[in-house]
Amino acid sequence: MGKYFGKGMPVPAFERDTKDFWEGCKQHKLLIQRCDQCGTYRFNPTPVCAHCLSFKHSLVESAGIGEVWSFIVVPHPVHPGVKESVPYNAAIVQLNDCGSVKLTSNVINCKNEEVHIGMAVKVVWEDSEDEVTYYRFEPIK
Amino acid sequence: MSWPMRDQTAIVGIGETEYTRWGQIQRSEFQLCCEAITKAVDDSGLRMQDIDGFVTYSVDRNNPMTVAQTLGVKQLKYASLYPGGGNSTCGVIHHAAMAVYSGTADAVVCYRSLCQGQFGRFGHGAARTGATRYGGSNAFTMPFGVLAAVHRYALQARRHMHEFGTTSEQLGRISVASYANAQRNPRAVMYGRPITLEDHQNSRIIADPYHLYDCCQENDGACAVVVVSAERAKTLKRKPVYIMGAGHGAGHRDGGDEHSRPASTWTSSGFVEIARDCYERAGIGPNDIDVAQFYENFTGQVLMAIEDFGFCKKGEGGPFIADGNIDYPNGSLPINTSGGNLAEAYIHGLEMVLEGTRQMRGDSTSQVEGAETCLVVAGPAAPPSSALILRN
Repeated sequence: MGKYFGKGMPVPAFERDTKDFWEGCKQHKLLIQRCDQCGTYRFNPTPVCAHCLSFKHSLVESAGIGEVWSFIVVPHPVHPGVKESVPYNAAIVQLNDCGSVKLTSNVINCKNEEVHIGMAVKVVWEDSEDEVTYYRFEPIK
Repeated sequence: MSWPMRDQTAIVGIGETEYTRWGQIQRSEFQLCCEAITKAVDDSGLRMQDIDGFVTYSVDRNNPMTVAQTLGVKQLKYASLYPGGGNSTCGVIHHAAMAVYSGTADAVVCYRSLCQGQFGRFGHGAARTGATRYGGSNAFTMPFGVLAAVHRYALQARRHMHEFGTTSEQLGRISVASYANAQRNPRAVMYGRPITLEDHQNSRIIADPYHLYDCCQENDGACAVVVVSAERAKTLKRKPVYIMGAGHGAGHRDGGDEHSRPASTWTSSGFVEIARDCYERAGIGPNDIDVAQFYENFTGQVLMAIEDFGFCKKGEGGPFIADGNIDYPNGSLPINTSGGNLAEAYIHGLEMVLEGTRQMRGDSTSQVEGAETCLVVAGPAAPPSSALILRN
């Protein structure tokens, strides 16, 4: 259970193709896959490079700095897990490094009204009780 | 090289149950499925023993074998599930046409039965299943509050607004046009309930920038379509509606995955390649389309699909709509003449193929005068998507 959301929120399953990423989160490291053969970055984690079909990759730690690519503000509690969090925001963040991959996350430590496309943000870590550490973002002042 | 299947197959029968708000129909979803199929077969003039193929969506609970067995079909020669949900609306017809054209089957029924009152509302997204742990790409969206379709698609609409200055009022015009068409259609769930642009703007926010009236309905109902060869169609009682062009699939990495899509696909409904294929196969272009049915999961995705199909330039969908081009009867491209998913009913879009068929038969409640071609576009931004060009 992350602090931005309440009890009952969906939790990621650690799967064979994704567990290295989530283990990195526990150490507060944002680890992005880079193809060993052609150097292309990809997210979310997959077993094979879509550009050159290599199955070999390395994990590169991102500095966690990026900008908001798009966002929504949700006042309607469609799920029990967001009942206490509405209105909440969800944002697509494009990283400045690691091939400018995009991640779905939330912009915290600011008002929803302040979130905008192009907003500069950096990663903040949110440890939770269910052994998942979530990556969220906050504005760079 | 022209497409060998052009005009070689035809829709010859359509059938549907009543459409209602979710939770209103007491008969089982499976019964509705069987009712819609028997009506479509009756409409065609064929008998059930003539039917030898069934196609539905992979998310349909009523699978082809169970349906064939229950309806006493003599021999099943073709059964198929098009992968996914609303994206399948036209893909099922395309599959049926391929089965018929190849000689695999003679008469194929496409169907969709959907009782959101009996099996959970799509609008509830992740809450519908009650699951707590999610794998695959959902693991990277749902824990962050992207829980339902409206969240995914509102993110895309926001980006279109940012890049091209598209406004909520322009999106609202799609909803107003669909509701206006529903006022002439007694089948429509929103018959007798017109809305104004003000109503759209004042409706509650579901996921900003989307208001309630940007979202499709949740309904109970079923519908079905019969496809046979063009040759056979000429011997049956209804005016054949020919499948002139069809296309399905997805462009490069045009996935539902929010993270990895190329920047250009964020402002597209994913039809660029499908549109090209449909036009090439039909041998016509956007200027030759007289009327269109665009699956509305959400209004912004309709706007982007209109751009993808070349009815206006990329980024100009907002002004195109605001200028009245999509309005019946005077617009250059009247769309969703039954009221569509927004105002007729959301039977996962298959009801829009029925409306396309009516337009080509000349008996729509919002009939476009002299219409000879109808484009039908399935669920946008949810590949593999699909589209059809029908002609009379």
